[in-house]
Amino acid sequence: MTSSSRTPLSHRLVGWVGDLRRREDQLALLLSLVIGALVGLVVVAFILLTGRLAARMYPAGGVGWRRILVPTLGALVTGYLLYRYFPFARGSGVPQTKTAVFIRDGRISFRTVVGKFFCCSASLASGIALGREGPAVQIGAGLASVIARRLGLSKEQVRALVPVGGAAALAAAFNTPIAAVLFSLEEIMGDLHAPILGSVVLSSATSWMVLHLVLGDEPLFHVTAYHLTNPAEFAVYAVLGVVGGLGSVWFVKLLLSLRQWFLDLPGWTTWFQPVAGGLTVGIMGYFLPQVLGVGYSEVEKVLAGDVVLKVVVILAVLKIIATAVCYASGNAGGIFGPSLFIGAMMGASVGSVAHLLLPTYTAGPGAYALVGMGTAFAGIVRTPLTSVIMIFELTRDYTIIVPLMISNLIAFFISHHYQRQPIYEALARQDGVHLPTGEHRAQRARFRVTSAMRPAASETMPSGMTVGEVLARSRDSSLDAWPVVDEHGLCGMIQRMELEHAAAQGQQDQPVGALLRERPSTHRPDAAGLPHVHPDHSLTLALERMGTMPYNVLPVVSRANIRQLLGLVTLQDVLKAYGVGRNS
Amino acid sequence: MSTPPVSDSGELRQSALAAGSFVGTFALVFAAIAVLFAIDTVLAEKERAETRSEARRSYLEGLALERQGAILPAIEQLRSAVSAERENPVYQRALATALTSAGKLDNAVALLNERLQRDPGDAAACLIMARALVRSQRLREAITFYHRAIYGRWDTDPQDNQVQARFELVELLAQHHARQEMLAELLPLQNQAPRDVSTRKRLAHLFIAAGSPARAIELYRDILRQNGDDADAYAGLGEAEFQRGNYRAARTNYLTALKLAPEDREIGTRLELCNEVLALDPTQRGIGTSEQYRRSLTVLQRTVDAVTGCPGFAGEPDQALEDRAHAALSRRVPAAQLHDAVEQNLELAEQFWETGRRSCLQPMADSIQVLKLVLEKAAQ
Repeated sequence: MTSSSRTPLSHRLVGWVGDLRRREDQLALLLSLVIGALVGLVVVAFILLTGRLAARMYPAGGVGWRRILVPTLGALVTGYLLYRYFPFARGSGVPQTKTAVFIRDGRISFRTVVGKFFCCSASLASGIALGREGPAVQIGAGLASVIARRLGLSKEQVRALVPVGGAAALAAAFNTPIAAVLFSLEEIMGDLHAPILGSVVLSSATSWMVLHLVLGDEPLFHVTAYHLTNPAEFAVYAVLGVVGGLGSVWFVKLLLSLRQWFLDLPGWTTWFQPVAGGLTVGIMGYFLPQVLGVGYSEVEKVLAGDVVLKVVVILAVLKIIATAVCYASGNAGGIFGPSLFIGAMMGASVGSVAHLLLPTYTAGPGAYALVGMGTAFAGIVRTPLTSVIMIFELTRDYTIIVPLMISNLIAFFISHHYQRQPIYEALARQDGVHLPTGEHRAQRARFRVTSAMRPAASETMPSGMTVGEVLARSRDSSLDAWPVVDEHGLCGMIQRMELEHAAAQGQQDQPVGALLRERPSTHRPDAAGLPHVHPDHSLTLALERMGTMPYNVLPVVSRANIRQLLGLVTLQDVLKAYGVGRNS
Repeated sequence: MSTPPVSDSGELRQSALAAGSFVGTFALVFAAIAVLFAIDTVLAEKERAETRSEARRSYLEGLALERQGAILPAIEQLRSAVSAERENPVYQRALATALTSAGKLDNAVALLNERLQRDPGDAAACLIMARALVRSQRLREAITFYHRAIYGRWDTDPQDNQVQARFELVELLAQHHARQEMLAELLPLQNQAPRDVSTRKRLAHLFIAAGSPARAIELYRDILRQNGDDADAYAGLGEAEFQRGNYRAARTNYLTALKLAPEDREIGTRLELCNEVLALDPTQRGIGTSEQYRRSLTVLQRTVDAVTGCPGFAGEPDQALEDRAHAALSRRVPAAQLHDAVEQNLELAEQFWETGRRSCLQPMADSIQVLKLVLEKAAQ
């Protein structure tokens, strides 16, 4: 910009932009809307392009050999492109997004977004047995990352916008905005209380509205109303949970072991490894075309109760193998969609057998297929809350919640028992990336003040006690500050240094309460400035407070009554809790 | 809003560049949104057009297969049509009809429920639902859906479709001998139905089944006023008269019908039955007392034979009644007491008949239908 263009308008613009950049909340709001709209449109384009390409590759009445040739060629071409130009666009997209959030400061390149869009679209259209939702998450997250970086936002802001893009993508790809929000928080962030909740909700809703604007109000699956025929059915849903859990474990273990095998192959084979997936699914598809692609049309049929037991059992088994081989060999595509397919087939199998044995006590297999979808999702992806809400959003039927929860939780626990590491974390680990796990988060949650605090009774000093008496009493104490209490409870902290200073000035007979700087009263119970922590505070916060205040000991007080002293926490206690303290 | 100090030109240049990049990025994003929206709209429209055409092809193929009797492949095609164009009621109804024909009643009902949730006034869907429910033996619900079909919204020919739906309901009620409900449906149908001869004949026939032969007679007479050579109408009129117990009038009409349609065996059979009743009926006008007595004896004898010969007679036979019957059959009655004897014989026959009706485990043979009719007439 030259000096001649320094008009008041440009000044105002510069000022306005500066203000907007400083007001992070407003900027986040604006960006959530913009990212939601953009990602929604990109995902809609992705869905439409994939659909149209698939229709060209598999025209009605096409010959059988086409079903072998097309996925094989598709895998070969996209495999080369992924190897040569878009190495970060392989696989699902969810672990890559988590890696971007936790390790790469939210950085996903535009090249990866473009590569993911086109390679995945071609790959899925050619019949590779993978899903579109995971890739959509990476595309959405990538777009958010690109926009945030181009706007010159800080690393923290870029990182915070990545799940916002992911949620918007999932809302459009799966037409379930609430599940998208939960998935983003539960799986990507690993924290349902993440501060980005508002932005995620806003972008998800915007994206969903865009989807409806362009494609209309069509649910992903048309599901008939669910009815619980008899309470005894809960037992059958529990069986479905067990089957779903074991099936999920088998799928995850098979996928991980196959992927490790492919990773161990010589590096020069990488570009044509995806052909193995294409050929496998092609051969299966030659005999059973339903195995090809995402398979949502087949899921819809099964949900409508159009079930042949033998076929659904075979489809469940073949899809597990096909998806595992396709993913492990390095094709672009996710496991989100296939896990729903596998779940629907497993559910329909259990439902068919149950209906055959107990026709008057059980609903048709369609209902079980529906619950099975959530069950497999909970078992494979291990996001139980998302899976329940997702199926609830698909059906919009409250009555399905209870059987869904029973089945999902059983599958979740079985999966957790036999496969400790969730699939996305395990996939990232195979790539040498150690994502923060749920266990780490749980461990972090264990480091609370309550786990390190000690009783305060022997260390409290009555406010009426004189300075001299307190000094005499504190001689044997290991602390360098003590809580001072009166008849109402805690009224402040007194340091050894303050006591010695008062004694040096001849104030030995003065009550210690008179020395306190901040003293809460019954009229001012908030005690602003009174150093303290609560039992549920993290030890990190306790350390921070010790750092900002001149104490290495803090009183632990009740949240209901700040003057109620519950205990003390010292620096050494904190260090000991972390396992680095010395025994004093 | 703060304004940067003008004096610091380097800082201002930096800020201006950053602001330009910031605004430029937003402009780029908004432009991308606009372009993507246009692309998406075009792609979505193309997709919809292709989907519609594909759905239409599947639908027509499904109908053709259904006509050929290949019901399962037809269902497959129709299901594809519905999957491709979920909102299309024509495809949904066609699929539901095919599912009902194939006996996949639960699937048909579920599909129709979904359709009716979206459009509760869809009369055609209600009619298919009623048919599916009839096949599922859920008659009460079926009747409700027939009513919804009658009072619902038809896209084409509402009058005709409503009449046909009501006729279907009446025929269902006739199958289940629900005469009161039948009559309740027939009365509005009489006003609603077209005035053509075949519809009026159908109506008249249903009135007879509903136990209202008088209305049937009116309709048949009306038809015969327009066309005096209608054998069906004469036969129907004969049947209505037969139902009312006017066997003479019935015979006259049957005879006329048989003259007009001599090859119609059904009319011949009915005429035969009518003649048998007339030949046996002791209450018939115009016959002498001795003939009445003779007929009453025949009726009593045949009743005793029918009841005692009934297969699987259960319970104790009423010996006193049997003795009285045998006594009545064997006694000689003076001419002056013939009239009373006729009454006694018929009363005994009715009592015997009642005994047989209560105690005979299996339905009594059709051959005694004449006897039943005669006794019913005598009881009147």
